[in-house]
Amino acid sequence: MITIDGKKVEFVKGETILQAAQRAGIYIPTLCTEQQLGGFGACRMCLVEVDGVGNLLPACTTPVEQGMVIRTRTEEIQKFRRGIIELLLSEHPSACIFCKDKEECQETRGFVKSGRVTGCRFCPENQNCELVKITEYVGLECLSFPLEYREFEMRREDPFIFRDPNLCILCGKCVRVCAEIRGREAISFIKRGHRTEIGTSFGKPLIEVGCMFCGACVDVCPTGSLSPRSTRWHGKPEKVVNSLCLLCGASCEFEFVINWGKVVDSRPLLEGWNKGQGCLRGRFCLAPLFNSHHRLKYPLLRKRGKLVPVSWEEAIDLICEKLKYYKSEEIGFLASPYLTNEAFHLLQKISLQLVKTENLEIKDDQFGRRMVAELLKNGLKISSFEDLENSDLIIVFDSDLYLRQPVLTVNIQRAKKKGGKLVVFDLTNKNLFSEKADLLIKPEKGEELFEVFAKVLKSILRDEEEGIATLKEVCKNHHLLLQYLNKIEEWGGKTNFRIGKSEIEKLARFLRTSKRVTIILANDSREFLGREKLVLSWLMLLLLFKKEESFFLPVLSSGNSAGISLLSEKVVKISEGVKFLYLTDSLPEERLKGVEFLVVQAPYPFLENRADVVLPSTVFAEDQGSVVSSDLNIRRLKRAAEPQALAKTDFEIFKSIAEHLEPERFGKIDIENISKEVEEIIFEKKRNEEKEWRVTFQMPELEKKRAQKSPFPKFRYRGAKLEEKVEDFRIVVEYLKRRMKNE
Amino acid sequence: MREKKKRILICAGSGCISSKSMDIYESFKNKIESLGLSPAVEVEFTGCHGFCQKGPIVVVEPEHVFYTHVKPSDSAEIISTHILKNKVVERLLYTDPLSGKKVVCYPDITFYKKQHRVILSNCGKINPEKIEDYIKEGGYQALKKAVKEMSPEEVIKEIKKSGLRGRGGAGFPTGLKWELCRKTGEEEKYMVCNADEGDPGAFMDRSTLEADPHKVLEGMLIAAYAIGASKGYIYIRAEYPLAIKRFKTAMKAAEKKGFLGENILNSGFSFNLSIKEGAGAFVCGEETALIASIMGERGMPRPKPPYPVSSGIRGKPTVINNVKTLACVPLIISKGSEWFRSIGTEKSPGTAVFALTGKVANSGLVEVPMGTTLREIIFEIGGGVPDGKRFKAVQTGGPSGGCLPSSKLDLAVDYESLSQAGSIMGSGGMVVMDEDSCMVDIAHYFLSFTQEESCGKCPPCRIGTKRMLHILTRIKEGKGEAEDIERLEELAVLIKKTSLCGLGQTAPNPVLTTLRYFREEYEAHIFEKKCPAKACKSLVSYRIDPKKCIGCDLCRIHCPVDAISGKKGEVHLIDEEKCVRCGLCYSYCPPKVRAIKKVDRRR
Repeated sequence: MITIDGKKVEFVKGETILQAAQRAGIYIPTLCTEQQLGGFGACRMCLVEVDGVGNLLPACTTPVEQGMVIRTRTEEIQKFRRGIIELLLSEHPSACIFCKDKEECQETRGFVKSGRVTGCRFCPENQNCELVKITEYVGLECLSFPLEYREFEMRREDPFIFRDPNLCILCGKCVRVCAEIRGREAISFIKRGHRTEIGTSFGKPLIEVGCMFCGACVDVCPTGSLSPRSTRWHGKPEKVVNSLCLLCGASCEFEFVINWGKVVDSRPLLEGWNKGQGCLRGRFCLAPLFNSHHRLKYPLLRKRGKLVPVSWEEAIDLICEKLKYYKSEEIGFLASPYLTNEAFHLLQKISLQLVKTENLEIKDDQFGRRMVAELLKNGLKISSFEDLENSDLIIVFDSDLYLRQPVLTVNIQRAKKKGGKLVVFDLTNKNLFSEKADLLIKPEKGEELFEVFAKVLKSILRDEEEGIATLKEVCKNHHLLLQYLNKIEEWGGKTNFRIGKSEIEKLARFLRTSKRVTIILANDSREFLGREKLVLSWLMLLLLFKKEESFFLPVLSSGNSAGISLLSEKVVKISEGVKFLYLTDSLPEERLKGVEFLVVQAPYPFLENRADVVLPSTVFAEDQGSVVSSDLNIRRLKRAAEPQALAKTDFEIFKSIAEHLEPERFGKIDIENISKEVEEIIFEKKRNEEKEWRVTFQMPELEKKRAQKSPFPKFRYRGAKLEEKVEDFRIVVEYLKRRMKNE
Repeated sequence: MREKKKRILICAGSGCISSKSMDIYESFKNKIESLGLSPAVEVEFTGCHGFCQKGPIVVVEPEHVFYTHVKPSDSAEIISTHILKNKVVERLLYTDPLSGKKVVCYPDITFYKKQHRVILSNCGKINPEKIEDYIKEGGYQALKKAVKEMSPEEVIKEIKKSGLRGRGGAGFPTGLKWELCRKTGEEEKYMVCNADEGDPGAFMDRSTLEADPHKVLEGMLIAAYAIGASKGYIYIRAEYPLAIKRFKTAMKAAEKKGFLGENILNSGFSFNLSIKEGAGAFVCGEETALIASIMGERGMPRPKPPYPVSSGIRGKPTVINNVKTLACVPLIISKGSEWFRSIGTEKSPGTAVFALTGKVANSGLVEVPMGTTLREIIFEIGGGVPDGKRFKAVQTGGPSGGCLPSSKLDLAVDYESLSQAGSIMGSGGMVVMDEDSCMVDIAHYFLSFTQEESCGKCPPCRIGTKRMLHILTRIKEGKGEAEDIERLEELAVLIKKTSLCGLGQTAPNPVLTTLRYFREEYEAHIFEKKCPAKACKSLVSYRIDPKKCIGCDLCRIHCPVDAISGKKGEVHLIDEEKCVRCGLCYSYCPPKVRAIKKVDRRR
């Protein structure tokens, strides 16, 4: 039992005084502590008095001890707290804090945009500032020192993030979140004494010091020192809605900040699975993407060669008329991987049951989708994102996670902090993520990779007593495998084999000694690995001796690839000779040969010169329904903002088509019913796992061709290129491209 | 009895090297060789003698003749007169500042006579780059004794019995620290030597490492054996290249002899040591900042607990000891704790090393038993304040210490007495000030150092010291306000009580002690707008005494702003309006004339 301010609090070993106090509902002010980061002991606001200890102790770092008697707000402590806040405010704009008219001023005059922050009214953190809250708490009412601004240069040169060191109180949260949570170390304390500030090495712009613009630093900043460039002047939001970001398969949970009925900002949700972490696309690109002036606003019909606005009825009428006019094999649909489960399911129903065509193609991500199917078919376990951090060994195929699914690197960083090892197979010579690896393997050719696999397998077999026996049990064609392995030397071998004995041994050792292994298969592996079956069979062989604790995690690059791949009944490519084409995502123009009637349904225009009907659909923040993230979990999408202009959700559009085509066929089409249907299908598919671990050895295809550097990922959302819609994003992408080219 | 071999010892401490002692060494060596005296007369360089003010120093053994301010060209005379004819070269001998007499013998110099050298015992005696020299002086016997005859617990017991306290400044009992670390029972532990001597003007760690690196190394080895560490670091600042070089040489030699590395002296005890060069941040002397720096992070302290003895380098138990602490260890082990206890006081046994500087006749490294009074150190060893000026204050403990007035001169120096008087032992800086020093100015100087060296992590230290400095600047400029003294005191308490680490917690000491002992000077600045010591530029004027001025024109020639008028041979005049109070005229006025005076500035 411990006593805090006279209140008895249960003693929990390992807790800090601050945690114990928070548990007991006792407020201790602090400026430098963050739940995920732990104590830092810098701001000195949480100093408390402990019986028997001469000095005041910081509550955020001092562990509780049995029987401790703690006082958190004696007159002396409060005086010191006032003193410290006074010091902080002696170099921080404080006119508004001490102004007696501040409340009225906030109400009547609101928020003012200005070049330099000289008071709270001009500060991006207005009304959300921890410094102000604590100043009120300690009851400081004026300053006894003359103000002395530090006159630091404001840093405006970076994309997305605006830095004003003059507002900084050096709590160090940004530095710690960057290093400890994101594993980047782009920013740090620089200089000494009174000139100490948060900066980069040699004062370079953030982009040049490895910043990936995840925005984690902005989100932890307690003052207006770090702020998102595009939204710093938006003031207090009208409301905040929790939903998902669908720009990649991670489906991070975000809170969407709504002002004037629009999404003006998006912040990763602290309570979400992503624990308050996002990436540059989710954190900074969504609002400009959603509010892009390119958005389609009205249904358009081609009349006399020109696309002109029409009513929804007119557009749907025409589409249905044409659907009835063409023969079913002449009709094709293209499903965007960004459609919600419900929308896709309905589209599939329309195509298979109403139009009766199998020409339903799913755009992009074939490798990922086939990989998901293959994993499920083999009964392999899929790791959830949250569980990733419990892995002792994480093997990543291909290294561009920082681009594809940056948020996964947070979980990997957590695993690493717990002592987990990271092995990266860098197949395409990109080194954004490779630098974090405990073991980096860079095979030059496809065959080299399989040779690494074979050598590692040999090394494992040598050390596992029951090795061969187990192998025989599980692998039907083990003779062939053993024959193949015999031909492979354990180390070295061919003179041009560049992967050394130590690397092979290290990987084998990691595989033997780790309990829980997770293999992350990034999309780019396709270029290099060849067929999914082949790769998977080899990975299964490597994991043979820890199958209970082996997990896979496919990295899918677009929003609902996983959901669509689980729901789709047939995987087809639209056959040639199609005359009616219904696109919900972009398609290369050469595939439009022979198409007579083209429908485009998207939030952004594409193929405007060819389209006969253009239907404005909503972006995902204006949509609702469910999606499946690439760890195969169903996640709910909530409508955060109202559809722009006349845009309708994909589901609504499909619904009106279905009802128009055959009014009575599906009864009353209701999103909730479809949702239930979808859930059942997905549940079935996921359950349909073969429990046995059966491997069929496949002889590696010895392709002689050199690995190509896989192309830089394309960041698209339903036909819109992110770079074109978000200028700052283009700057980052182009910088990264240049950097990779030079390396 | 066979006459002892003649040895010419040339000081090769950093101070003497910078005044070309290596050239002296070369010239002696060449001449001795060319004269064919080479085996009979030995030429050797040594570490620092501690009396750097008199450098370059050459000592001729066995008769302990002490030559000062030797130039390379003097080697011929020393050889021809002293070595060959056995006659002392009078010209180069040390002159006692009090009696004005030449002193021939090293131990007869008052500077050395009163000292008790334990930590510095080998300094100036042995070649620091030769392990054999150290072994000849009994080196590595303690290590042998420890690893072969004693258990780690016995070593700790012996150190505890000796009462050795950390010489880094805080005075934590060393034996207890080792015991706490050993008792954690963790397998991986670290032994660190803190050689990040950051106090301006302090150079005892540097001299010890340069003059006797093996003693520190041996101390580290014994400490590592006692706590059960197999890995260690010595954190030396990169500004000490010679110390780093000599320590590296020492490590190599010790490794060759089997004192360092795997299975030391076949005892099964292994110790791997690396040198970590610090980038010269004052705060890195703080334990936790030092650990961060060793681990490649920014040198920033973190709150304690956990203390390094339970969670230090890589989160493992770590003992950090100062250079001088470790240098005591081999002596305690070989001579016994009783011997060590016989030196110094009951609570603080052993000796203390001070870097005595400032307005004192003899400046240099001084090692005295704990409990020696300030008066003995300053007036006997240091030879008092020169130029007939009056002693005003002594500042101990570097920038974190305090200024003590003449009423405290009979204070017996140890950890407790100093902290009671408002100062600290610190790492041992001792700056003597005479009547010309303004205490506000001194406080300002030391505070500006700590202010700049603050790591910036916690607001009281980062901003508080800056605010104090502002107020002091204001007072110095004659713009002080009546409330300023109170403000300073309030801020000082805030900073002391709430700062994260020792740097901040001690930073206000110079201000607090000067306020305590020299309050009237602050009041004179604030209320009368006068600087009693005439040191604060804004509060003084320069005046030419027409009765004394001989019209030599020197002042006029050197005045940078043409504020002085007057023809040669006539009385000169300073134009108050133009004068920028640079003090050049004051220093150019011939000492015999002394026509220029500092007076209180008229407002």
